Amino acid sequence: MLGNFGAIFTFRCKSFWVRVVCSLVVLPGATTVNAAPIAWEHVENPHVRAAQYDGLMGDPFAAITQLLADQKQGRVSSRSAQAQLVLGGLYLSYGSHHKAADIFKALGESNQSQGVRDQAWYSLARAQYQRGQGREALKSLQRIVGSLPDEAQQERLLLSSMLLMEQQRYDEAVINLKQLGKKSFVQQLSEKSVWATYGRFNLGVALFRQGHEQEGRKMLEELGAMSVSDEEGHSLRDKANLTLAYDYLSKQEPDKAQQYFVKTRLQGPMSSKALLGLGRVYSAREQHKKSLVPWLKLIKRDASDPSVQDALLAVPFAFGKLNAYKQALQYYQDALASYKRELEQVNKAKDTVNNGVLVDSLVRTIGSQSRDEQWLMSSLPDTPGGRYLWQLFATHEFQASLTDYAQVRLSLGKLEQWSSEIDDGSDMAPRQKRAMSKRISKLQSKLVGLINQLRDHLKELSLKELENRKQRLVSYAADARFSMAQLYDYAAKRWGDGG
Amino acid sequence: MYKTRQNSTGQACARWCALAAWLVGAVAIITFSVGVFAAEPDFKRLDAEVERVLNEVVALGADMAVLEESRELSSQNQLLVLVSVGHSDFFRLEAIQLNIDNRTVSYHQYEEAELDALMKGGSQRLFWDDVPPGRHELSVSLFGRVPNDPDFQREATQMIITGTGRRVVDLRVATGTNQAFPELSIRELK
Repeated sequence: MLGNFGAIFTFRCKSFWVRVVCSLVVLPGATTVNAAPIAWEHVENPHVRAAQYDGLMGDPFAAITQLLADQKQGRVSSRSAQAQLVLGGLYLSYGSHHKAADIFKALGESNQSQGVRDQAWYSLARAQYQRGQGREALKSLQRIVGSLPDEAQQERLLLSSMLLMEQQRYDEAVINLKQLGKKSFVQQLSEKSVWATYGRFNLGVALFRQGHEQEGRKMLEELGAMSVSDEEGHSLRDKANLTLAYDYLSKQEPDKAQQYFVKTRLQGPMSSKALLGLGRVYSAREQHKKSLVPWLKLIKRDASDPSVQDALLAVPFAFGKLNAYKQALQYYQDALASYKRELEQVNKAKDTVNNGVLVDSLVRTIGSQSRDEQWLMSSLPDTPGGRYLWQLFATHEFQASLTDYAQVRLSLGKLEQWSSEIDDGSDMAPRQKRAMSKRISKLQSKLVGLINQLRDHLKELSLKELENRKQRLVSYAADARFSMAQLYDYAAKRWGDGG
Repeated sequence: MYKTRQNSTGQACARWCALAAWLVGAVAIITFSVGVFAAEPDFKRLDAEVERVLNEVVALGADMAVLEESRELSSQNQLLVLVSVGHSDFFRLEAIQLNIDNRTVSYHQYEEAELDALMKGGSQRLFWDDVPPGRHELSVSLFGRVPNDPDFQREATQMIITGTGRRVVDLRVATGTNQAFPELSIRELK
């Protein structure tokens, strides 16, 4: 019997493995590239340096407006390469990717020094990457001639590798990553470079995909055994171990898989997947009693976690294998009850989406945090309905829509403030007053229109995701009911109706 | 009968495995898409429209900043004092006090984020206001920590003349090549 299960399991695990690898591919650029404002060292003009300070303090709007005001008053030359680089970086930080890209492209194609052009191409690549223009970003990176400053150089290599991997160009990605890994291995000893660690992880995965399993495995094994002190390092180590564990599990080598599952922390974002996998290791060995240990631990966790939902069905399955039908039935009933509760919660979450509470609370959350905080992973799931939408929160479209929504609302507030300043401006010429008021009013109506469109879009995305969650839970519940019916049927046939 | 039940249970398990794989796959694909961006064209249009309008707000903001400055400050008498800090492994800046003609006009205590922004090459606007035309004494006190001296202090003084156009002064905290401790310098920028 287990043979059937095992065969299907292995087959599933093959695709599962590929997906796990996908899920574990670390894309630090996705957050770091998005968030970090560019800091250009040795900027000569004090006004440009002041704008840079505002940008680094998380206020790109104030930085851009003051820098443009300084340009208008002749304090900063609009031809200054440094000013343009800083301005482009500020626009990027503000979310104006097209504007930033225009500035960087013009600089890259100018007759400025090679260093300035290289920095411009690098910045353009970041802007294009944020727009989802992978091919263009890669082309921009390939136009860099010299070396960039340390951290930027590492980021350049890693970004190139990620973009090459996205295009299935693994050979070239590996060459890039080896360059990064080689350089950073030494640096890691002295600087503990996080880029090196990301690079090595991605290199391991790339090697796997390329068919160089031994080499890839070796790299991941090194990562999985490294000594780490911070959360980022722990998380990466867990990912490396989990990747190896699921690989061995897919190859029906549960003993080896177990070695890596047990190295994953019992706390942390990867722990639920590790507990689920460990149970599968025992199950593959037909050690069903042992498989219950991690699975019973797992089902005590938050039932909105897909791993927990899996385990809710895995537990009664194991009891069934142990011929403990009464317990199996009880746990199927518990699973069913849990799915029902989750369904109710999903419905409640839908209400918070429909009445606008969810979007407003998300905007409040991101409004209270600095732009470079990784707010998506830490705070958002605690918002009403948030724990059902964390997968959606991780998507570019949702993040971008939410940031747009927050920016538009913030801008509307600024316009209101300017409007009252204009109204109070008794010293202003009437014509100037009228012109400014007209501009403000025109922008206000545009922003109000955008707020409505963005709110509807966010609502639509959230409801779609919640509906998917609902369908999955319905499907889980159907499985639980089906298994329970089979148990009843078996009991009736074996012991009769009174059994 | 037992066999039938086990087979069915096996099928049920296969189903939950398939579901599990699908779910994890869905998570994986979504996570992976953070960097891949499969955004809908409709959203791209909306996002681009948002950017266009926000850039208009920025342009208006720049005009408002010029307007506000012209209303609040005199083009002849204004003084802008900026702080810039060089990187040092030994020194931690805690506060800066600025006096004009023995009157304290600014005292700022620094937080980590501010120090970080300064170390990365940013300059903080410590003081930006009108100063009556004439000759003035600018005196700056720097407070911080160095090894074995938690009350490290430095002072610097410079004369400036206002009333003949906008003045910009840079307060620079930096260590020289052979110095362990930072020096404070005041420089009027042209």
